[in-house]
Amino acid sequence: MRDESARDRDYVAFVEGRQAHLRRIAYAVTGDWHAADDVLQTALTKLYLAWPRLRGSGTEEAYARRIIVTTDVDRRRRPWRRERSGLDGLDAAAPTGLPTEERSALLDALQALPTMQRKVVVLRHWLGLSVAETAAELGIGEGTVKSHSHRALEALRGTLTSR
Amino acid sequence: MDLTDELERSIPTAPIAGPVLPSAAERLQEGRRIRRRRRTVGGLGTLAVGVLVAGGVTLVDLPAQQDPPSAGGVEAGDTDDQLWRTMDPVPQLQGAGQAFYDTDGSLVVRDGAEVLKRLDDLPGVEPPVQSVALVTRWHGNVYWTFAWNEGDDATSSTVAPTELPSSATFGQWVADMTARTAAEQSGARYVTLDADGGLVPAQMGVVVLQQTTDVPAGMLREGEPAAVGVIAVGDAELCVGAADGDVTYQSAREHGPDLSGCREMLEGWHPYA
Repeated sequence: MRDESARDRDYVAFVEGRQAHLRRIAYAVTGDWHAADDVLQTALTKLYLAWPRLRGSGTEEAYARRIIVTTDVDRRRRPWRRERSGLDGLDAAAPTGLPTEERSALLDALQALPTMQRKVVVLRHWLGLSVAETAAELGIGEGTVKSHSHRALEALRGTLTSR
Repeated sequence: MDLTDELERSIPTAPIAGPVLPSAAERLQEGRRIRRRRRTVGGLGTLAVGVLVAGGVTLVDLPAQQDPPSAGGVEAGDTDDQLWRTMDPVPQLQGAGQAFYDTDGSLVVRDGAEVLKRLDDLPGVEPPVQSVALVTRWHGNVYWTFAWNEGDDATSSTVAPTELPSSATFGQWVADMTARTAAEQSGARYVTLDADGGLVPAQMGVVVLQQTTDVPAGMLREGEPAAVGVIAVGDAELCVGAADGDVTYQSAREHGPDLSGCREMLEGWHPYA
């Protein structure tokens, strides 16, 4: 069996096992299923390109997750939408979010947070990353993570206590 | 009240309606497509043709034999550009492409091409990857070809040495292609990018010959360093584009030989695809 085939098999296995979870993360940080699918495709393509050096390292998911976070930063920062890698026939229109009545107040409050605060909440308080890990994934200092976290939790507190 | 649990309950797992997730196999195909596109970026006088095979079945219709191209009245001494316009029925041999690895691992050389020199299993390209470098004469013109085969992804590049922007020898061009292929094969990096956009050797024997942070717009990303450079790796000289955690390499003898040529070649490269 050629090494390339084994390498690709491992990639396929990883995607099969983790892409639904990664898509959910992408939705949590973008608040939009279209954007989430765009970001996820970019992340998985970049992961494939980096796969020879990441395969078996245990950092595969962290790498994809970091791309999801940083790609979303890029998407929001730019005034235009970057041409992206897409899959023919799979870009059909989709709902951009849950129906209003099915969106939770907490999800709405999360999406209303400033971008970096939202990402800190997703990484730190939903996915359970440490302060240091969150800082590394977002490319910011640990003190900045703590301040974003503090402000975000204050903003969410009202939503949480009213439930 | 636990925020983690609340978030877990609040963040939906999938849209209620809409497209299903692409399959992992479709993600794989897309990754391969982008990788092939990167390999073929730029390319004065270069033909780089990927051959995709899935499950051992060739996705392109490949005749067992093909006639020498005669459409267009190609004669000895015709320019490469004229040959490029010659339509060939074999997808792997568009233009002046000289050879490619078939799905069974055998090397297919274009009918009518005379092999003047052949180097097999080039040092630096690790098995099980097959590799070969050829000097051929076809319709009076000399071509250099580098082909390699990873089983389900094979690539072939052909250049007309008279059209290279440098006065490279065949051995130098092969050194470039071998170094580039070795990096693609292993994922190894010859250089890394520091926080100021400087290219830094990542291996012994790597020398950064030229570099600039004046990169094509497609490589730019706000707040992120990016650089274009020319590096030496042993006998090889490579154009380097580095940005956003990605690095791409191409033969400097083919695309350079200096920064301006490398920069032009990288106009089509978008590191975050």
